[in-house]
Amino acid sequence: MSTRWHNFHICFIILLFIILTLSHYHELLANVPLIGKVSLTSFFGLSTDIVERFAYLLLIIYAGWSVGIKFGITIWLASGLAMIPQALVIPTDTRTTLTESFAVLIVAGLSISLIQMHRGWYRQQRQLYGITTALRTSQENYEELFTNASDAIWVHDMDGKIVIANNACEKVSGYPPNEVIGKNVSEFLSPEALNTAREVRARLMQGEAIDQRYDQRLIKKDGSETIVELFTRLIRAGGKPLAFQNIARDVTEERRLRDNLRFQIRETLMAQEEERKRIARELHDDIAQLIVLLSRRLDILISGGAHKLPKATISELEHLQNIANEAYKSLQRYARDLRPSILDQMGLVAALNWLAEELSKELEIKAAVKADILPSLPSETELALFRIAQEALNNVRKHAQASEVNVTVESDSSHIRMTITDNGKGFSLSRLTGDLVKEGKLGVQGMEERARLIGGKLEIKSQPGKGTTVIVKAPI
Amino acid sequence: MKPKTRILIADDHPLLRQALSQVFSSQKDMEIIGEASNGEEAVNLASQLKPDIVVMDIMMPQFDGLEASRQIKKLAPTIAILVLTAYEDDNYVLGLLEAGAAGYLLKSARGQDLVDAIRAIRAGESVLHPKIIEKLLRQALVKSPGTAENKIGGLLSDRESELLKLLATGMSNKEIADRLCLSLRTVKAHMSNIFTKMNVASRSEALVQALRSGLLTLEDIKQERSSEN
Repeated sequence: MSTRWHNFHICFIILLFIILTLSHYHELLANVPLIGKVSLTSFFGLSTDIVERFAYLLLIIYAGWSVGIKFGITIWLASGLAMIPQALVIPTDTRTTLTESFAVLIVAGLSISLIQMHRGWYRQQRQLYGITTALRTSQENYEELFTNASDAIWVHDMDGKIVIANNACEKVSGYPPNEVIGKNVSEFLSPEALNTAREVRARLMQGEAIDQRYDQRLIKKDGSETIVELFTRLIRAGGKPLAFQNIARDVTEERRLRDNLRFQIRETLMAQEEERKRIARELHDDIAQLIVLLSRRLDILISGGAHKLPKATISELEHLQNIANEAYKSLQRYARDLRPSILDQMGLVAALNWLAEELSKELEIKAAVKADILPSLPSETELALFRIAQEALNNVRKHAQASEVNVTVESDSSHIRMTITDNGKGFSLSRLTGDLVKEGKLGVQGMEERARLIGGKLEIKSQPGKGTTVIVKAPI
Repeated sequence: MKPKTRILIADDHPLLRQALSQVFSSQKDMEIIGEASNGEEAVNLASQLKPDIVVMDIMMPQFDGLEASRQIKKLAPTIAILVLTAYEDDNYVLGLLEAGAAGYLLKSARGQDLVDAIRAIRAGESVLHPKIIEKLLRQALVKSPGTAENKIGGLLSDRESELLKLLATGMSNKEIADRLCLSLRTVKAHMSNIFTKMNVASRSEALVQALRSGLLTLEDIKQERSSEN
């Protein structure tokens, strides 16, 4: 109710109360001009007094109803004060009028109490209704969200039985949601996937929270495979494990694309390596040998003809031999860049030393190699590590502006670990995957693929201003 | 007259073998006793014919010249090996020396250089650049010396040990002779004894062996160098 109405009611009730009271005492005030005329008439054979008392009753109820309980009580008290003197002084039958007055006051009091109680109850009902509606809307929204989420969401109990599943579960499982419910999750898992699931379960049960999504392979109804990125959470009730909540995103296509890309990079790397090897060998075995032969024959000609041939001819022959020797050297350099024979012949450490020295010679960079005495490595592993080091040092040469590079190679009985650290300008790692590839710097991906090819892992640590570290760890 | 130096040539290229043998056979003090066209053949012929020196191309089919060198040194340590290589950077050369080469030359080296190198090896002279020797020492230090112990050290006389240290500085036989006030003949005889005791065929190998066994340290060499100046 607006304040204006409120005030209007208050003024109106006070006015009515005054009129009523004047009327109630009109016999006393009969001589006062104007006011003495105010008087209610009798209705239906009821006396004026009774009509007035009844009017008081109505006024109290009206006050209590329209303005509020406090105002109602005020009017109730005022009415009591107004009625009681009249009941005591004026009429002939004091007992009856007093009884009537009290009866009116009691009924009025009860009435406004009832009004107040009803008000309270009504307000409560209104609130309750509001809450229920909001709750229903929220639940509807939630259900809508759950049912139609693009991610598959399900909950399975501690035995693996699926108790809730949304529509998207059909996409990843091949079964409609109502058929999914009641099945056991293990039905969708290959033995390998089951191992992953057990591992996750064990970790969750130990109280570990797994924040990161992990890859899981699900077997669909038709036997095909879906790769999902899964997020699993353990639901507890009063500290007791109750169920597992799962949110899965279908990444089959993404993974397939990624695998394809990887495969392509791998094939390219291998083809490139083969081709380089072939060209290097041809240069080395064929052309280089012919040039050496040419040089050697010229040599024999020169030393054999030292006495017989004119001096000018000899010096021309020597010149030719020098050209042949230069050709041989540059050919070998070229062949070496393609495929460093030092790696095949002297092993990884010698080849790394060679790389480091080349770098030191070319730029003012202090490059050092520290290596354990290594067990004999498969040639693919040596080649991969060498190429990774070559790429890393190339990056140092081109981008790092470093003054020092350290290459360390360590090994234990099962793994080899190569670390390349520079003190250069570093870079922000967020630039790594996306931007570096966009900028055409596939080097990093190439390194990763080479590491993966030998069953290893590549890790890059860098921060602007804090240098870069490349770590490869591979089994041997 | 001194016996001729008996040479085995190992190179997979027939025309190159021919050119090489032409270079050596024109020398009065050398003779070609065999030619091998791959690593395996080189090992077999070397153990059969017992040449003084094998002139070996590093790039060969079957197993390469490096592997062949290792095997020959294992079967007959007194055969010296002169490696013909495409590369002469330090790390590569160190690898060759580790495998037991007495010396190396670029494949395109002149005939005269080849002949000179063979004579130097036979005379127990150094065929290595002092820079390489120093590098060898450094690397030996890194690779924790002293594994083969002083077995060799016990075998050598004081004089011979002294000679070994001088040898590591890259001094020629003549310089050593002058330094120790000995005749060149005596120095050569000592060298020959050292090689025999160490079971090697050349200075380079003696050096590698001495480093491996911890008989020589970088300090020794530095000391010798400074007293030399």
